[in-house]
Amino acid sequence: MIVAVFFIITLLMTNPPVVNWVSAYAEENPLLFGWPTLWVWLQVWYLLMIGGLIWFGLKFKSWNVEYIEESVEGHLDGGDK
Amino acid sequence: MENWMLGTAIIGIYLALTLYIGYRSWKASQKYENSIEDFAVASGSFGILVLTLTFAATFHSAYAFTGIVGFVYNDGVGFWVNGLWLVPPALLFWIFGRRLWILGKKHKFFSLAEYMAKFYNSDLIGLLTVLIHAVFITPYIGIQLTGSGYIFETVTEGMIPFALGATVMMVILIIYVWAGGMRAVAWTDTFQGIFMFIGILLGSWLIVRNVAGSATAAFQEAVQAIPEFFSLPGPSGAITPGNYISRWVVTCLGMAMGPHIIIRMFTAKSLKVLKWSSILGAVYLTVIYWFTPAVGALARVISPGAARPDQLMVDYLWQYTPVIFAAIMLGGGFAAAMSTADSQAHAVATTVSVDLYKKHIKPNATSRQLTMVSRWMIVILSLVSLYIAITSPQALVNLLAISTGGIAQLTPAFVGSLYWKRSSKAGALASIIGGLAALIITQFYWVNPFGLGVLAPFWGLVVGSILFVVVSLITPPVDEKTIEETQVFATEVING
Repeated sequence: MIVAVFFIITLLMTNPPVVNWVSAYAEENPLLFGWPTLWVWLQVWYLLMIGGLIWFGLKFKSWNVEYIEESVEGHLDGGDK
Repeated sequence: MENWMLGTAIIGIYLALTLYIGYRSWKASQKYENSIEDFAVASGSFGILVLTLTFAATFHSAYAFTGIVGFVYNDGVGFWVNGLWLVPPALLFWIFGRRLWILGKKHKFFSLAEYMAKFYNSDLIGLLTVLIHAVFITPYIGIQLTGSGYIFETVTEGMIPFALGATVMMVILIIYVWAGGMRAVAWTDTFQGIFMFIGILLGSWLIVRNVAGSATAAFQEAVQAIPEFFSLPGPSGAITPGNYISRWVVTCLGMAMGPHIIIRMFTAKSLKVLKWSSILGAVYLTVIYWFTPAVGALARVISPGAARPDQLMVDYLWQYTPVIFAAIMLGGGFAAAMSTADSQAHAVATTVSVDLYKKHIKPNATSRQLTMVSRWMIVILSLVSLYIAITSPQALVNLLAISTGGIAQLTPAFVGSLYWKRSSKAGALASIIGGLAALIITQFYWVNPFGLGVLAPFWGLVVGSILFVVVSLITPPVDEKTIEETQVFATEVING
């Protein structure tokens, strides 16, 4: 659930209408820290997405591969072949 | 030594190294005695480094090196909608890949067509999946050959014409994929992935540094010259909200459904490898374009009104960086083209062999025979792609326009098979056929319906999704035993 909410938020922030609001701001302020404002906005969210992937990869049970591998072996050993 | 000789020598060394890696992978695959499982998925033996780089290198084609600068040039900073088909696919690679990997372990399959045919208990759906992959991937291979042909022509200053360059690339590709199958493809991808990462990242940074001094200086100049570059809908006016959303949705799903991406989900030696390769792949795919917007902005200043913006990256490397460096960097472009073409040819050849030849032509074919059919399919696919690329470039462009979008039409039926118990065979067929029909109609006959600027494949996805849900609800779903063996089994394994 948390994964879904997190990625929905990041998708909302990187899509219209939000990016169009950022774009309107960028018309007046095209650069931020010397880089295109809209690019900076999108890049921050993409990096957050990647950070989220790493976090979930480290912390979430349903992403815990050792556990899933044991589980699949258990199911197959149980006569499921 | 003249520039073209130096450039040709460097490309030659690069190709020789590629062949050597192909040879090593052939040696490594000998102990598996030409089995189709080894040829197709390297017996599920890849670790994190190889899977990350083969995933990323396959994902990025010649477009990454040439086309994207043209995109930035034409459409400004809105090009970075592309990030949405570079990061989320990593999530899909893990979320879908995890289920497919588990089901592959249970049912011993390694292609999307095999899985779809089994789930829907329909050879026709399996056959449709194979045909869609073959028809829509072939032009993609052709465009990679075209891209490498142009790079060849540039590096050799016209001494080796485009057609000959594309042919040389095709021959080398056939040799190493024939010899080592997936292992050769992935090992060369690993080498090519490193090469293209350095080529694109360092190459674009050097162009910017040598011409403008820094990326921020390039942007400052562009702000004065072309302010519309920095906001939507961009200089060409193309990146409207409809275009933006449909562009990333279609590309993201089309890439995720591609046979060359799906088959990689079965090559991981463990789920840990699959998970971290997905995540690291997203990092690779995002970082590689760090300086690309600066090159596009700079191009607007120093090459206003360029006739072929997608050639600018190659031209700039040649003009603004030392020739030996430019030749090495152009090798990165070559790697981008080759690493995609080899993976696509290999994946389609494998699915044709396993899902068409074995299933419909010779059911008792041995593993060695299937491997041989895959090898000959690689030759045939490569020749057809080259022929179209050389003789009918316009046909290639038309096919390419709907290539990724065509493959994306498999999405509703595929996602339904993973998660929805009411999915039905009739719903899947209606979705695939209806989606493709809507795509072709809105691409060629009823262009830009309602003036929303939405790309044609998106309409296909909308129609396909509606058809899938409605027809599935009014027709019998797949049988309970299948649901138990697929959706329920995968969910139980994941949730414990």
